[in-house]
Amino acid sequence: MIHFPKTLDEAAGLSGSVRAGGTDLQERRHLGLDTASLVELRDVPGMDGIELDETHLHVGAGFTVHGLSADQRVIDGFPGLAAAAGGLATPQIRHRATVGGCILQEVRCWYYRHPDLVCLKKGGATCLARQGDHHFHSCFQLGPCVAPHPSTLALALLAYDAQCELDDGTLLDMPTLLGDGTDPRRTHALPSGRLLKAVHVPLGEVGERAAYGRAISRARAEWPLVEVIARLWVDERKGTVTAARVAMGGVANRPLDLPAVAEALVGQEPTDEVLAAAAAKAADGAEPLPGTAYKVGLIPGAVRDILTRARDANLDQQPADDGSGAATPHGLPRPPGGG
Amino acid sequence: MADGRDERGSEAGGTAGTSRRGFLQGSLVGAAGATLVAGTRSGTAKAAVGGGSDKVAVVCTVNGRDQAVTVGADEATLDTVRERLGLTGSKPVCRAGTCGACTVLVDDVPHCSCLLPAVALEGRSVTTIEGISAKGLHPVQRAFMAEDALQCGFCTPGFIVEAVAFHDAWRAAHGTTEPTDDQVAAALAGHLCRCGAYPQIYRAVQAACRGEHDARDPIAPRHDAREKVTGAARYTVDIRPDDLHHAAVIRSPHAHAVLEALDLAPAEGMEGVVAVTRFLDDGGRVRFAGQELAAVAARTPAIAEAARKAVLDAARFRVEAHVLDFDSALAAGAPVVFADARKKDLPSAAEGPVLGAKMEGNLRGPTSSSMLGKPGRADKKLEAAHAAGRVAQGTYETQVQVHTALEPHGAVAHWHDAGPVERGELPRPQLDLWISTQSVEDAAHDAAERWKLKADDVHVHAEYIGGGFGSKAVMSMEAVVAIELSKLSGKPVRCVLSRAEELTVGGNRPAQRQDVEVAWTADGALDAVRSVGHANSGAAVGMITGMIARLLYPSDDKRMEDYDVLTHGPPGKAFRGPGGPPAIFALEQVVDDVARTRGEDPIALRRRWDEHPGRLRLYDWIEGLPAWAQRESGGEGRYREGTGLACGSWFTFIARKVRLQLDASADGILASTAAQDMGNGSRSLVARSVAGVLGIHPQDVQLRFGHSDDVHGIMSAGSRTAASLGPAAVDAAETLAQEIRDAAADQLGWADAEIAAGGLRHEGAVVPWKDVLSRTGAISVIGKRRKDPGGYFIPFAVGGLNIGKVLSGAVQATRVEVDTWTGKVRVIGSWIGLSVGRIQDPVLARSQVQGGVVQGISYALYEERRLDPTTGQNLTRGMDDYRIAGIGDIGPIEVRFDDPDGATGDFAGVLGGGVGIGEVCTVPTAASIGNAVRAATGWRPTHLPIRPDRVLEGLS
Ligand SMILES: Cc1cc2nc3c(=O)[nH]c(=O)nc-3n(C[C@H](O)[C@H](O)[C@H](O)COP(=O)(O)OP(=O)(O)OC[C@H]3O[C@@H](n4cnc5c(N)ncnc54)[C@H](O)[C@@H]3O)c2cc1C
Ligand code: FES
Ligand code: FES
Repeated sequence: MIHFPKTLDEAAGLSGSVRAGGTDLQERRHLGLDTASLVELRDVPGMDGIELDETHLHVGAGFTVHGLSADQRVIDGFPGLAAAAGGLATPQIRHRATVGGCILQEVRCWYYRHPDLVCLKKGGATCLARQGDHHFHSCFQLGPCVAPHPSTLALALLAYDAQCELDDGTLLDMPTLLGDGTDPRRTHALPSGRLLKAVHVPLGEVGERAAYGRAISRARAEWPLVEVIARLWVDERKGTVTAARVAMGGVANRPLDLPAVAEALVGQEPTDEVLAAAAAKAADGAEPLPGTAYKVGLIPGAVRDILTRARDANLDQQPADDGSGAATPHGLPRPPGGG
Repeated sequence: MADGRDERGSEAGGTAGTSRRGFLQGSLVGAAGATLVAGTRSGTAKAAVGGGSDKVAVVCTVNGRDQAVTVGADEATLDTVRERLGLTGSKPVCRAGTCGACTVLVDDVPHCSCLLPAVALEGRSVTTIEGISAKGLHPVQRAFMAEDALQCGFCTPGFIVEAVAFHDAWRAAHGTTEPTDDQVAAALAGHLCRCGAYPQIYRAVQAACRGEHDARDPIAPRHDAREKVTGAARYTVDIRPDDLHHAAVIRSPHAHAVLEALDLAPAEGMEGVVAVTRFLDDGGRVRFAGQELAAVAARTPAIAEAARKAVLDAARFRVEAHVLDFDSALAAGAPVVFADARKKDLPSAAEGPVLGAKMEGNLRGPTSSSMLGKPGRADKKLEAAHAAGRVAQGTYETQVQVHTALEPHGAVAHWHDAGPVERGELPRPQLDLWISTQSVEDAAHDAAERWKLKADDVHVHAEYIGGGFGSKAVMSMEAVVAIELSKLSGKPVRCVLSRAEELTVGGNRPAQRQDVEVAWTADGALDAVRSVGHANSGAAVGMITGMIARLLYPSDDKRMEDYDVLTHGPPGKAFRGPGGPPAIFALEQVVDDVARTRGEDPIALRRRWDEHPGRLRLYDWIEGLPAWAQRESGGEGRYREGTGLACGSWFTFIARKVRLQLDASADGILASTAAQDMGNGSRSLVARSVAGVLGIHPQDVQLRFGHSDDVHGIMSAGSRTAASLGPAAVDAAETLAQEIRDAAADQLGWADAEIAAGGLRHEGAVVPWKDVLSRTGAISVIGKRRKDPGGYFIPFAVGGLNIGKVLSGAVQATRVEVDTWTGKVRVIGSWIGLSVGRIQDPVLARSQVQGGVVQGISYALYEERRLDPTTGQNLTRGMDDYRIAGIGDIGPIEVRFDDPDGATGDFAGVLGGGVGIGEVCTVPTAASIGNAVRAATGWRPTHLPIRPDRVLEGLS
């Protein structure tokens, strides 16, 4: 059964699985993990726009991940977000995947995606990964399910303090939309029956240096062992960090904000030693499983890598839409219509 | 600026209000830099069925033609174009967005059609690979042909569609400036090629972007390149006879269990199910998760799937304890995998015959190869050397590697009545079998035997094969399923493994544990070697590595023992260079340690220990490389570089029964044999060999490959093709030339006729073959593979193969960079030298070698099949979890052939002067990477793959 609502309201009134780009949902349906009727967003207008005004970037839930990575206004004003969008999945997927679908996608846990196995997330009694093979799973424990949160954009939008607008106009910040990770059945906390309509990203202070990257074994197109986004502001005169925002994914069932790392940077000159010391704090509080203990050792290096790239970001350079998650600096945000 | 902004100015304040219309509905088109046109395709969706339907009418254009199709709600665009529109160029591989083989353009943008709902095509324009060449070949297609950027061709349509979009955008923006390797890699990051054609793909995309292929179609070095770049090549998965039915296989979800009750009734009663068959009786024992229990055939894949589920849901098992790894399998009291099976029924993981050995519990061995040489003397020497401190040793463990051919195992069987029969004869059933196989002939033979058919009544077809690497050498269950169900139903039945099935039961290189000790004498000569190997072949036996480690550094003083450790895992199979990469990974790292302990240069040491004449010459080349000169440049920084070296050797196998038929007439020359081309280039080899003798162009030789009805062919495996089929083709062409000359003399009275390039010389001019043939009439000959002048290692053939007296040789240097922060190992470059004698086709040979190195890199750094410890189920069921190298992972690969013209005569004992390269080229790669990591960091990797976590642990 498939529905083609013509408006977002109509869509919200229908029960079933919402389909945007389908790059996540279709694989799950193919595996028999999702059998509900379909609420296809194809014919719902007005979801796939992007707009910048004096205070915010407004992105429709149906806007593509590729569009986000390639839009000059995003590259200039939200360099870490653009880099994260350009650093996830593959070119074909980024062209089809939507911002809403990326935030609300399901986990990639190999127990969850195994059609014959019933894990906690699918209504079973235990998290099969805990007792089983959890090499790619979490090393922080937010709840019973240890599948890492899959969404790179959720991570980036967390670091950019985005607000998510639902179809009924409700605004939720990222921590609220994602939930705290204690409910193993849910990968996010979108109220049932609601749809994501748009995300609004506040413009940051001028002079942001940002980078996004992931620790993986191959060059590209691989789910991260650890993924990190960092935003730094450096007082050019004093040479010290005035503000920082750092977040990490791939290590817990929700993306983690890392205020302690940011605090360790503020007021300091961002030398190699300072960055290394700050990065070392990123693993504080980890409670690894036997098979993810290595991530505790990997985190400091991965965070340090991204802090270093953010610090060294060349403010005139553009991000590469290449999946390598290269550092993505930017110039000054231009107020729309202002120049 | 656009007005729309003001309209929702209040929302933009960050609170966004509760406007029903929401933001972005105003007129934003035209806003500076705006990239949006709000997605209101509903107006165009005139045929779209309103809410709540299963079938959706979609109107779109496909390859420039208007199409109105009715599609399912969940139907993938891939299925729409392949199954409904018959456009089979787009390939199904992973069905999960990982491999890119299914890529099509939607409004000129590449999409993975496996994840793209067909309903999304409404009002869109789709271009498949077939549409790319609608108006002649695209420059990218020409470049792929010219640069030989393909082998089996199964990934090729996807790469080309993506590269076309990249090329067109690049040319529009940059003219004929060449994109960098990194730019090409970024654009093609969503594509995987298992054959490892990446080096040529870089070159092809760059050449096309430079504008070098704008004008005319090239002559491709690969005979079937055009079919592959246009999507015209038809693989087993593309075969769709009328009334095709679909199979689904019921598999065990348990690693070790007794099947208590399997009831097929739920499937039999289903509307649309035409046949049901079972492979394990009630009370039978299951030995691995994924084992075939039964199969169904139905009118549609969906019905077959529903029937599969119904049967599996009702099945009852008595689950028993299982063993998956070495330690649990060898522990006291471990469940025995083959307690009740007859020894001769053990499935084989070997390519050749399984060597005899005793079996106790789950341990089988040592195999009799340990009887070669003087093992007792080796033990004594080692004891003394240990006392003198002249031994290097280590324990090395390698992972299970899955073949992962991009075309899965698949078969389409049609069991049907004979056509008209001769008088007095009874009608006999006929079996047509399309199968992705490395041997159409063996498949036909096996099918005839199993189903008691006359050999003449089985017709096996495999014109194109999307890779095999050893996994498709012997007939496997997909063929049994398809044939059995077709026999029962009388319908053509297709059984194609899903990617999850392929990665589970498609075959694998067993995990291995190798204990190696190498002793040297006081003056630095090789003293003795002991190597004890354990292979976890799952529920199969017959892995050998000792034999392979024996090929390097000749000495009698070796003890080489091989053991199989049986476990409840999917059975292993021969995999390109069976036993080679794991054996060499251990041995060559220990030899590197010998050099280190002795404070000696690793090449200097090998010059004394190695006797392979070709490799000794290749060491000179390696020593001249800058990467070798800086081999220990690691330092203390974040990134550390180093270069490692390793050697490999392989056997020379010759299949002397191979034949090649030539049918020559005024219409041309047709070469045929019951062989196949799985991407290794057998077609090109034959065309080149025949053309070389007759003095014509290879493209003028027509080929019929992949049909078992033709003359005796050859299995594409064991590096045997070049040295077997090549000489047979030469023999056929020489015979043909003589027969034409004789016919000209006899029938036309051309007593003076002499064989010349392109035809017969007669009265001072060369008369082209065709013209002679138009007068003499058609002539057919069959060429043979004659005896080798140098004789054989043993005088008789084993399993149809003669073993040559010479060994091929390889030496590889690899430079890596290790990121000490994140544990990532990156290959900077590889240099591989091969001593294989005369090279028949330099371009294709280089492609094959580079592919072997790519697979070796992938094995060393990324690949790893993982089973759930609790259930024994395969967890790496998709190509995101089972990682193979992508285009950005390989670095430049330089290939050097030691003696491409055969001038040294090293291989003169083999007819044709050269031997196979397919396996020796993948044997040393992992070991050279291990040695490179050691050179870069001081830490020696003992486990494969060399994952980031292992590197970090090793460095900490
Ligand atoms: C090879 C590969 C690699 C990948 N690598 C990464 C990666 O590195 N990082 C990463 O973040 N992702 C990665 N992905 C996942 C990819 O980003 C997601 O599949 C994609 O973003 C989902 O977007 P979509 O529009 O296709 O969503 P869909 O598949 O249509 O939907 C995904 C989910 O979101 C829900 N949904 C979508 N839109 C809405 C809405 N507006 N309101 C309410 N619910 C909604 C759907 O109901 C569904 O449950 C990868 C995917 C592939 C195939
Ligand atoms: S089959 Fe579509 S990406 Fe692999
Ligand atoms: S040529 Fe790429 S998979 Fe075979």
